[in-house]
Amino acid sequence: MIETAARAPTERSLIDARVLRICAWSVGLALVTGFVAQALVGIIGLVTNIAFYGRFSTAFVSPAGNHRGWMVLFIPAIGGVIVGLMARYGSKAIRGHGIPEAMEQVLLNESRIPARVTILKPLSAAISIGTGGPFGAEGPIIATGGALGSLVGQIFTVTATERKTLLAAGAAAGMAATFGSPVSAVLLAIELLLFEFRPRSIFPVALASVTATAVRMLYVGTDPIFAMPLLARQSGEALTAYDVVGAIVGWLAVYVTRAVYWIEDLFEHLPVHWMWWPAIGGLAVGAVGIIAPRTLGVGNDNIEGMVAGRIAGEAVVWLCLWKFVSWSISLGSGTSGGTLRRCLPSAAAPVPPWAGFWRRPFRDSESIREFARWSGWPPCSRARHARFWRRWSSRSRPPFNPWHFFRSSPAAPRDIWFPRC
Amino acid sequence: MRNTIMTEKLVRRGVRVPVEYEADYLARIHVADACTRRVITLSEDQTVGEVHDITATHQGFPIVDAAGRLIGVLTRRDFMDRTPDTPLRALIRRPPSVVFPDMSLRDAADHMVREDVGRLPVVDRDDPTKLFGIITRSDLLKVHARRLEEEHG
Repeated sequence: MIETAARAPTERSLIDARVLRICAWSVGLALVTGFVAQALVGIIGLVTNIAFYGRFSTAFVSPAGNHRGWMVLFIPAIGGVIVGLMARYGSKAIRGHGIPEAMEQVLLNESRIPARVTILKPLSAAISIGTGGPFGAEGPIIATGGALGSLVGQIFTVTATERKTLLAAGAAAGMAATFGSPVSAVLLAIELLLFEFRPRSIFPVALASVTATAVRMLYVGTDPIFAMPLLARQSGEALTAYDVVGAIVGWLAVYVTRAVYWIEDLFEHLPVHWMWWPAIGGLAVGAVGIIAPRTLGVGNDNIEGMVAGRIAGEAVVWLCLWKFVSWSISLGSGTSGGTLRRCLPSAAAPVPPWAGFWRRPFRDSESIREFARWSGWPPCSRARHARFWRRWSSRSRPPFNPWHFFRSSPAAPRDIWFPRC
Repeated sequence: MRNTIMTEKLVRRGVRVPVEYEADYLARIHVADACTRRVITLSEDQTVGEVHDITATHQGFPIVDAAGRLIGVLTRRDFMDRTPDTPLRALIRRPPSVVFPDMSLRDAADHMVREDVGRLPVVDRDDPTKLFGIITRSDLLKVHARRLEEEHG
């Protein structure tokens, strides 16, 4: 007879020492990602200044006010050539807006992202956006944060799931560091990278997200420089209108997505190496940039203008149509640039024409304009969005300086832990 | 449109991107509620010849000693090519892999994978030789009938 004990399953607790260790790494990772995000903004500013104004400065400017004339046609194309070279001889993973590429590594490759992506992705995005690419920086910074997290997970011995958690923590930190939206960053990480909701992965990701937001606050601050007017009490009619506009935007989004992939398919048919596609896309960006200079670059000043009601009516439709043409062609060309923020002005496009129409029943056009902020992704508070855009596009933004972090913080500790919005 | 601007690219490359995240159904159910209570056991003193007819009815059997205590598990494959007078106790090669009634079906399924077995005797937590029931792979699948009914009516 065999006198050995029966083998029962070992029961594991929800949180153990390993989770705490991953949490600690995630916080460190988020600090680094927070600085990288600020550095990326500085590099985008630097590239913009060199490319459009011929001066050496990291201040964040819009390319719209340049005096390059028809030369603008070629600036995005030159950026496209550089990005193409980086993709071909560096890493193909830098093409695209970054999030699908990170998802692919999570789903197929045990979350192992090559280390060189951590350098190439932000650089290529900075070149692409700085030379007028109509993208946001958040896709690339999410991808960079994710690559950093994956790198930590490859240096230390961890399981594939723990590496995925670190990757998602880095990505969430990247998003929180650009948008200052700790809650939606966690949601984004769950939906697109973690594919799960459990304490083991949520704690590290949430900690990373909050830490990166704190780093961002040290640079950008928490005080509302753009004071939002308090909204009139929302009426049932207004809410109904929001629903209708939301449905329309959702319906438009389907066609926007299809258009991007349709253009991408067209590029596939070109008889040249994919390395040249971003340059061709850059020519389109440049051409549109001559017609509508405001389409160049991140375009936060545009969103801000719409939110504040300075750009309205036909101007919005005109701007958004051109921006859409420029964005979809260049994104389809496989250059390096983000998608998330670009969704915001597109969502705003159908709104202002309605604003006039609905003004009388509501006696409050503000509540309609409000929708432009509401409709945005990530779904964080309106005040937070508005402040972010304002700060981001402000000409008086100080140049990137890593020593800011070590100086006395402009934000009171209370505001870091309990932000006012 | 089934896919989003983020996932379309991956789906085109043939990757299955998860879109619905829900709590594990197996983690919600106790082993006690899904296992079979009426277990056909074989005694260690019986021989392969004696149990020949019974082994045609099921795949695997808990083996108990004279006092009714669990000492191992044998499957139909263990009986193959054995002389009819081999006692069952000579065929037991490893201690039984078991689960407790208050564990979840997820624990049971994971344990089956780790131990590379298709059935687990369910035993008392305080006395792991006291047989409570048996849970098999098909029990794990059967509970999903309940889930499908909840979802689709």
